[in-house]
Amino acid sequence: MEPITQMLDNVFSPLTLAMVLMVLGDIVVEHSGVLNIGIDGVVALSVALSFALSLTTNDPVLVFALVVLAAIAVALVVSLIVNVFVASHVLTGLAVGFACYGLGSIAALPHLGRSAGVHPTLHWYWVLGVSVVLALAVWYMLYYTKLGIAIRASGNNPYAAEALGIHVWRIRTLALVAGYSLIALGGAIYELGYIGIWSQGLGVGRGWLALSLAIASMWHPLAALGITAVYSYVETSMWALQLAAGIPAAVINAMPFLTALGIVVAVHATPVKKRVSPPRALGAEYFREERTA
Amino acid sequence: MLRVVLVRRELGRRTYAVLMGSSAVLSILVSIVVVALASSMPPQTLLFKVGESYANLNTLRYFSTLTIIGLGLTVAYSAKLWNIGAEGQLVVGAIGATAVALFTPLGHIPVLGIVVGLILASLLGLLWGLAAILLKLKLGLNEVLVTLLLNYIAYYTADYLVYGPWRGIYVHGYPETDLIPQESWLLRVYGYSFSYPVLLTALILVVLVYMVMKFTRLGIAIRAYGSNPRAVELSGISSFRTAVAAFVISAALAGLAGGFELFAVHRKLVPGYKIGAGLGYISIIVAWLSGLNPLLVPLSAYYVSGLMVFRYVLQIGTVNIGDAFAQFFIGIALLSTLATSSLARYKIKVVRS
Repeated sequence: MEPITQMLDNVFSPLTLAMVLMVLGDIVVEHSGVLNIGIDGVVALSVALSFALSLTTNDPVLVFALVVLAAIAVALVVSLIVNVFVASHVLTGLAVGFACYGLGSIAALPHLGRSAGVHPTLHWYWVLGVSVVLALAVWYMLYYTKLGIAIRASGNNPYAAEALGIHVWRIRTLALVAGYSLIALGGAIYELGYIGIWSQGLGVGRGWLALSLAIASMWHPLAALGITAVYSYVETSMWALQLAAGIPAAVINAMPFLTALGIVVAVHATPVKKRVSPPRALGAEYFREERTA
Repeated sequence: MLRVVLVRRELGRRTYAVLMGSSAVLSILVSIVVVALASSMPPQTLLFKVGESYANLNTLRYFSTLTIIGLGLTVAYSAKLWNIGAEGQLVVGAIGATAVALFTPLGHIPVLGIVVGLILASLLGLLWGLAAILLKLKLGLNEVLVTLLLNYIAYYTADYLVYGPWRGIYVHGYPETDLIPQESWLLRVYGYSFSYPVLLTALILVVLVYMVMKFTRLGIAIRAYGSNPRAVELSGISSFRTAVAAFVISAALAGLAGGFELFAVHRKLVPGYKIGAGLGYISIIVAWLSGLNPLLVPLSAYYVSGLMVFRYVLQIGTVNIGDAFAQFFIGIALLSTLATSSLARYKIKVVRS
């Protein structure tokens, strides 16, 4: 029994769960039409914050709760600037991202060189179970509930959605809060369950990776589950692959980005586009008072 | 019932400039207060250090690079085309420059080698951008996402080269190429990290981009494309070509900056994230802080460069917290600019409904 459990622990490592959480969070946010450029900052912030908090409080629940609260605060800032000030999603995301990188490092730097104080042990059945249940829940929510349809309507055509009585800014705020909570949980699990130590810049780039995996799955939660699980397994066995097959690390690192690009191009170049397409108003500035114009 | 609504408005140029200027100064002051609270350094020391950073000539090293890339980006953004791939375009530019300096005989010929290297750097940057804009115009892909993905593909291309075929013989196993021949070095000013040719190019480009955007048919078409692509088409100019031109200008300038980074700063190819070093992303902020006005790009580049130098000044004990605070500063500066420019564009009104 022992070798099998070990193999399963390898295939469904905490990294898988962390990445699934981040990708699902990104999918929820982007289905509402908010282009999630802030994701990288939120991931870096939650990684650094969970590390710092794990050393100041020893209560795992408190650590996760505080990290999620911080992410919700960031979500509300993004929502304020994107929805109320009608600013560009890209610039808002970049600005919030930079501020988050900084804040995260400021919180974690005093503890530099120590290892995290909380180590949740995540067996393969936890990883597999939670990932599958969450992906199914997000999928069901987005496609079969009133809330999900409102989220997708806001992302496809906010003007039409508003005309149907959906409060677009409320829906987008809700999606941001829910999505950023998932992303923050992912960041915390990445740090506490997988990495365990912290150095400056840790987690930077993780968010973009999650974004590219969301693109590669064309923003579909179930496709995301599969693609993310495969990618995470490849990443955890990167060194083995390098030894066994001589594949350079750079090639493996570039794979999710190349795959994402390949899949979006393929989808857009073929009639598949009619069936699966990215949220049509993704990243478009929505000025409510002009909805009749 | 009372309702809060936003109404569009146009502010006078002078009011707008005053508003944006005070927002920039205010965000520095706010950041100083935050740093003072978090680090228990007295605010007046911090203020002095910020002033010192702005007076330090090393700002010119960042100033040159950020001005070149930022200028290009104002062109693309004027056409409302979101090139956020300057980081990747810079990296492929640096790869091109390395190829010329290290693997062709031109590397040993002064001036000519550098010129050819810079041309190849711009060309590679241009192609990296061309791919993104063609995918947008032909297939309808979102250029933000494509350029973002291309950034990482560029990073890992550089990584592949320095960990693999291009790894130097004299580098003791470090992932980098050998130094390029001295004939291909752009000399830095003694004791400082900036170089006159780069600075001069940046300043010439400011005037050039301004002239092109203001007085040429192409520049006017690019600005018109930003407000209405169909109007460009109706006036007899190809909107397709206008969009491609705007995008590749920005990409080529980022590539050029990559070439300069290599010849003047690194002088060898290093892993992607070290060459890019986020300069491509920071340039996006530079472009927007200038309000997309080429003549104001140097001002916003200087504003950001001061913070980049400030990073090195801020050290507590053995821990360098400068990077963290600089990132926080830059984020706050852009956020307050965004909020201020919204307040300038929209009037907040309370109406009865």
